Amino acid sequence: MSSPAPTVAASAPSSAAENRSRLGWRELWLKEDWWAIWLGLGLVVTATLLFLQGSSLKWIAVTPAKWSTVSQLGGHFAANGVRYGAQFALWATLFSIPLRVMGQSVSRFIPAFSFVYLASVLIFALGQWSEASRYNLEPPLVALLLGLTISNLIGLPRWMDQGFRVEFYIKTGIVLLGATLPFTLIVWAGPTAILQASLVSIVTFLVIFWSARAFGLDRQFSATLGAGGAVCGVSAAIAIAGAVGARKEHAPVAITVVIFWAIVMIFVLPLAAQALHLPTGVAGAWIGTSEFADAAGFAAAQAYGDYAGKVPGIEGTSEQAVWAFTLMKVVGRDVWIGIWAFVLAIISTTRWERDADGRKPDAGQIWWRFPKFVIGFFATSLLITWVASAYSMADFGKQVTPALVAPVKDLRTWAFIFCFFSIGLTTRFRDLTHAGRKPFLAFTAGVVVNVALGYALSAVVFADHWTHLVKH
Amino acid sequence: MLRVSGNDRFFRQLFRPRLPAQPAAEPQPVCLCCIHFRNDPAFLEQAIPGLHTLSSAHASVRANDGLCLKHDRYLSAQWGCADHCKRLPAV
Repeated sequence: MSSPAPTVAASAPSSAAENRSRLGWRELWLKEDWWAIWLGLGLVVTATLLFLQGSSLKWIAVTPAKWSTVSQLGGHFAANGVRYGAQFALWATLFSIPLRVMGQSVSRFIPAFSFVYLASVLIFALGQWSEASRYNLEPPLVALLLGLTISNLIGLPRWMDQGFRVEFYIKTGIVLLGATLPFTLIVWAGPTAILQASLVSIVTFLVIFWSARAFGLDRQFSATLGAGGAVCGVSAAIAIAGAVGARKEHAPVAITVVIFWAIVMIFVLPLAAQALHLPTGVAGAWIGTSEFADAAGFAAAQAYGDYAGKVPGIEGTSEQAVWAFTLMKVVGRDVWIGIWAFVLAIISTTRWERDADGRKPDAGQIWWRFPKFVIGFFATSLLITWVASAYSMADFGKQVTPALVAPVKDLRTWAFIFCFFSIGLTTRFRDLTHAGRKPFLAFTAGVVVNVALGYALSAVVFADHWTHLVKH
Repeated sequence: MLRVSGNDRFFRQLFRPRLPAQPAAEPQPVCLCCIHFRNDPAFLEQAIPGLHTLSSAHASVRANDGLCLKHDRYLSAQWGCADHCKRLPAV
């Protein structure tokens, strides 16, 4: 590089320019994490208020009913057309406002989202077919495969990407998921998840980092790759690339490798868990340890959860797979990204670029980079747990679950299907940067260790904990 | 008293408040105000293939990072360098 390397400015913290470089309060309306909280928490608060007044969100949280003949399905849609129309209007409005505020085009979002919604209705309906499990037509996998087929074989106009907001949909879904996961369970199972996830994250990072170094890749690139495999996939790769100042071309390469393995794992992990007859809680924990992105992991965990009660030899419930995954991935791995970024920024400035005088990594990034949607996840869990505390177990099952929890869960399922379909629609293999052999092999070494260690911890060391997750 | 030797720069960063203050360097403007720095989400999602497939330029984890088109690096908006070129306010 002919020009001097950039350093962190050594200006006083009170510098007006430096202050502007932090988003501060503006993050509340400029980041989708906060918008996911406003939407998800808003829906859960509305559902709670309606419930406390003897009403429910049930009407608008309509989902396709189980069917075995086409006429049954047609009858369902004919009888509930208005409800689907209202639900579409609700989602379109809820997503349009934040996207407009964040600077996106609503006129492009609406038609693209209409396409996503229509396809999601069909995917959801297909999953409700009485023969669906016989043909492995789990909605997450169907959504992903359909999206991949459309984007890679048929192609859609680029402007439609405005409607394929994978992260926004999954974060909104995770906030809604909090309402179905008792806070007491988070408190009880969280520490084990953090312990297991931390062990696997550190080992995976070190394996990828040192493999990449052994292949001659530079330290910043190695750290970007390592974080992508160890923490939260593409989000971690981009966060660490920024924290350590990676070369411009390295972030896309890390992203390509993460996407490749994340897509592969959506199919491989549920199939492997099925072959091993793992209980849903154990499989969820394994997927949470060994998937590389939240959205991809939810697709795998929900697909496996759908096997419960349908595929012989698989113990547990559908919710156990999703809960175990969430505890492991969101609570155990995602929330630590700020700390990873801060520590790597310190190492970068003190060890890797010693000539970069004046660089002062700021501990504030632990908060700036914190995935804020997790706050919404905890908030909705606390709210519903508080509501539930006024009911006996029997009354909770009879009154609270059908009128409050079930509609929120149905809305969550919709948000997840929008996300899974959007993953497929935005994964255009020809657009991804050519990764190259060395980064791919370094990352793959981490994948092998991660999958083996994740299995050992989930299915052997903590097997009892994850198998009986819901009983505590 | 905390003793630091070979790794003193690492520990000074980690435990900055406990150690003697470093001499103040000359203030430098930050990348956010530099003409070479681009961090608007739409630009980043176009410039970094795959970013919006399993993540997003609007995510909190990105903070306010962006691309330096001068040095071809992806970095924090708080960085700065000798090549800083102040961005003029829009008229």
